[in-house]
Amino acid sequence: MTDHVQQIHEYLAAEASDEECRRLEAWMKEDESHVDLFVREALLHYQLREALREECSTPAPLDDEKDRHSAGDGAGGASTAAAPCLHHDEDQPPGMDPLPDSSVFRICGNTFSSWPAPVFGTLLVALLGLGGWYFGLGCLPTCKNDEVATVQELSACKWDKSRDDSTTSDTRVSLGRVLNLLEGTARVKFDCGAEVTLTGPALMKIDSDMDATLHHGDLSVNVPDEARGFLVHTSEMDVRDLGTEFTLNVDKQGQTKLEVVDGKVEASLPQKEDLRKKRNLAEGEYLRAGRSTLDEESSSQRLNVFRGVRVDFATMQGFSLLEIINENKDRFRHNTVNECLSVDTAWGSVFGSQGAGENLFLLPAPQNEDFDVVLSVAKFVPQRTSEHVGLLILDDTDNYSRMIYAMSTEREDRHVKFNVETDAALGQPVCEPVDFDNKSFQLRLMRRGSEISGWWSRDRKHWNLCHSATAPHAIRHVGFYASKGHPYPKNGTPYRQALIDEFMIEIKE
Amino acid sequence: MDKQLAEEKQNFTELWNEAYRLVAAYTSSLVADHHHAEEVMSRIAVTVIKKFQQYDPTRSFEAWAMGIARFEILKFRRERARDRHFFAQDMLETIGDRCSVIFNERAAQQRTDDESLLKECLKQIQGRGAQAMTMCYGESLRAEEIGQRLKMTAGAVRTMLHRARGSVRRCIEQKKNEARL
Repeated sequence: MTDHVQQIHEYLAAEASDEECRRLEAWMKEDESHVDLFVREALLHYQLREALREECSTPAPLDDEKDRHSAGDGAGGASTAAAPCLHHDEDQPPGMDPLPDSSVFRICGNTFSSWPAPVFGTLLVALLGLGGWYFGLGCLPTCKNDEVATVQELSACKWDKSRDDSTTSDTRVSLGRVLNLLEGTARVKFDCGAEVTLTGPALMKIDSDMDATLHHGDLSVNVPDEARGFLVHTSEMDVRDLGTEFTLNVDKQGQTKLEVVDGKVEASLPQKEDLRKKRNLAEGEYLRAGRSTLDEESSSQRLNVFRGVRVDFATMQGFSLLEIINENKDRFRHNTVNECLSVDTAWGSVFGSQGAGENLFLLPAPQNEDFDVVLSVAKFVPQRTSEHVGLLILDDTDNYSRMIYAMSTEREDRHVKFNVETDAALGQPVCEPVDFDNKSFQLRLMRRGSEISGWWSRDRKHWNLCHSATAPHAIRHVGFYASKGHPYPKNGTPYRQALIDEFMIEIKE
Repeated sequence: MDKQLAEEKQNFTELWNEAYRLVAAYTSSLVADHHHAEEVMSRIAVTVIKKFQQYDPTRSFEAWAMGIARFEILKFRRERARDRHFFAQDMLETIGDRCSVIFNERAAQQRTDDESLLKECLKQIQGRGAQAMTMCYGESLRAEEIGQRLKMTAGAVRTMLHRARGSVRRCIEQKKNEARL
């Protein structure tokens, strides 16, 4: 019994862990008398707060009160003042008269001492038409310092003067402060130890000493162990740091992308689902949520959520997830060049020398979910027929769908091509003349049920549909490759180089 | 002031004064973080005012206000589920029902007496126990923070608070018994 009472009070003081809360709830479900005990203790807790906050907001204690607080207890005699709470009548905003009859509403001086009485009063006046009935602020004890972080400018920062005219380097910022960074990079160092680096344009609000909201823009968060639990909210997502580094991007449409750089984070989507559902994301994983995507559902404003893994060739983060199938070292090599994966090939790939695929970068495909695979190519310039780079969704090398960028000597053009091939039939390839002209580009394959579609982009944002088709083949792997194609040169030369900067797979939830 | 409006104001004030403590206690039992509880309470108050003209005076205002409180707590829970574990909705309702029953077991006058007893009994808590109680309930500090101020471990602070609450409980019971004699 005693333990449960203590457990209840730890819960009421917001000091119980999630697990302890669950245990408490389970215990309460066992018997109605347990709920009654909880309620009685909750009432005591409430009364204690009410009584002691009232004391906290009372003018400076009389001598005997001071004595009571400062009396030694024979146990070491801590000299700290008991309650540094001040009566803040002097903090009352100018023009605010005291509440004429503070007993009318039990607002100030009670538990909910910072309840916005003027708002309450104004609303009441407006709604009930009670002209002249006015609520003053009365008393607002401020027991804590509201400043929770310091801003440091890392590069030339331009702040929105209309919103904030005082932010400079080393500015201390308080709860509720909105930072509107138009240009530059600034670091917000929370006193708890968390560091948030904002890159303009970005709009962020400081919600608490462990809590911020990103309305739009880019930020990265680095959280030491002592600040585990630091939270960042966006319109679609809540991200709790579990001692790590992560980045967040929110575009002007509210689409949020979370990416874990190091360690783990816990993400939830309060607008979408069961609140208890939380996702733990590890290094290399990301979560994207928004109402404006490539999906056909975008027009219905449903929230689309994608969880993914990104292979970043600048850091080789996630590279170990990929398996190179039938690597033919005589005619294929790969290494890192200019923060990209350089795939140099003098041979075919999907068909290979023995009809089996060679030099394919693959990973297992999600089996039951819809997903997207995206390949970002920094540079690839096909010169001859069958020189191409592309994405695959495949069962085996006779049964696959692909989206490639290629050269056709016959057509005398460079183009993107989507096709589905099976043992039974060669699907009609669909080509679209596109020349990326030495510049970077992206290819995408999207699976929705049995339908697969191929897309291309020049900027990662605006995607163009090439074609879609029903895929009759099984789906075992996804991946990418580069091919020199035929006519196959002797001695494996010359090589054709494709510079790949990113590969990612994301699953639609 | 228009007579009807004045009556409406008076009526609202009386009703809200009656219900306020129950609603606040209920809210504080389910939204433990003090700042969050304040926020929810302000939302409840605003909703109560906005919807007051929809209130059916033939029914219990307290039950009506508790309904609004439940809704606002649930709404807050949806928004802030990241923060911590919240009780399931059925538990939230059970607590609300029991809260109303237990709160109303005692007449208004008795509740006022209880509050006076509580204040008297709090005065009997001395030394660091008193300091810890003030910091915990008056300033909403956590055990860890209290421990830093008092140079104690968080665990020792929790034990001290537990003992202090026990003393207060026993003191109130004793004073009630004395009053009955």
